[in-house]
Amino acid sequence: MRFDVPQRLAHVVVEGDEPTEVYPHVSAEDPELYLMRLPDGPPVRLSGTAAVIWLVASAGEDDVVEAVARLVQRDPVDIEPDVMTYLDLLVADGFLQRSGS
Amino acid sequence: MPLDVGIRLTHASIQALAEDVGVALLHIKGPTLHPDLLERVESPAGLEGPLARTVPRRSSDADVLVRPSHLPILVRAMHAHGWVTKFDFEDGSAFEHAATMRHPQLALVDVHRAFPGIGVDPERAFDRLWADRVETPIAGYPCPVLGLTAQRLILLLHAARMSAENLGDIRRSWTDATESDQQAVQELARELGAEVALAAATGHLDRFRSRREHGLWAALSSGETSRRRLWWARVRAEPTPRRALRRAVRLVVPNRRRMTEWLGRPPTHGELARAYVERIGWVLAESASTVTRRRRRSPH
Repeated sequence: MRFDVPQRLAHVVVEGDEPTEVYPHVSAEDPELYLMRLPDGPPVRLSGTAAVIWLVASAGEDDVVEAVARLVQRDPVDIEPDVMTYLDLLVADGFLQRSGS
Repeated sequence: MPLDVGIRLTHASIQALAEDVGVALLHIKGPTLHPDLLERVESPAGLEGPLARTVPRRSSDADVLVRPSHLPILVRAMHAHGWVTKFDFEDGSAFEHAATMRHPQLALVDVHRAFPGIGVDPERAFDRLWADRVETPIAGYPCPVLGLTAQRLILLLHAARMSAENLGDIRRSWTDATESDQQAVQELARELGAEVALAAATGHLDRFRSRREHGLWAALSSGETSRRRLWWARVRAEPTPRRALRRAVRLVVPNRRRMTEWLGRPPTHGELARAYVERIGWVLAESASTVTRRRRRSPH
């Protein structure tokens, strides 16, 4: 399942000092980003694994669970239920959309 | 939320709002600037040698320039979406060029209906700048911004009235620019009637001694601190006696909205009266000191 950034969504990534090679915007330490549905928001802050999931999904990864697991150094099987639940929440809140939808 | 994040979200929010109500506006300064106009610093050397990176421009608010005829629509839409007018056009600078709007969750916005230093009709000026616009993502949302030449000019016009505060902008926008880039800026300034203000920023103001605005830009660019002299320079720069009189009065009458902001409540009649006396006082006091200096110099 692939995801896109909705057209009416503003997003700002707070730049980390040591970005990873795979996802330049993902700080290895504590990724942080702000999302806002336009025009009124309100702005929402994501950090840590929540930010990693949004960044990986918004980059168009085919297998978000696999990519997130690689970044947070966990077994994909362990994190899959939580990641999938969180992706559903992001879609429901208008912060992501499923590709083709 | 970090201020620079709030400013980016604010630009995107205003752009979406403007699109919804069919308003044309240009995003200026701050995060809209071309990398050529940003300060560059070198990071410690890596394997391939020193790494240069640009430093985002520090801002305290988001700036937009709206098509003047669309201004009432934009302000109405902003008010309907939770924005409040903090300072109206008449409450701001002596140029009355921008209103400041605030929102409970976003950064302040300066909504410009004109830009100080541009002499042609604001609607015509907007048309000219709009013709050269480019689209750039701010907070991931596509926003129309000034073309590179216009960005240089606007930074220079801004620097011209901020004296020594914006030497970096002058260097990056003008001194370090190629000859053809400088010619393009001068050509655009001619089209916009901004030659005098541009000359104030680039150190060529003497070429425009005969122009009405010369005194104003000489005062602003030299860091003039006498309020009386700045007052007179602004009054004298107005193109008609009617506008000069209006400006003279506006600059002396105390501003009720600013006083409310400062006091945290509306000023009383007494406070307004005292402020009026104080403002008249600085005009008269500085006028008196000028007369005294002249008498001392006089042989009689």
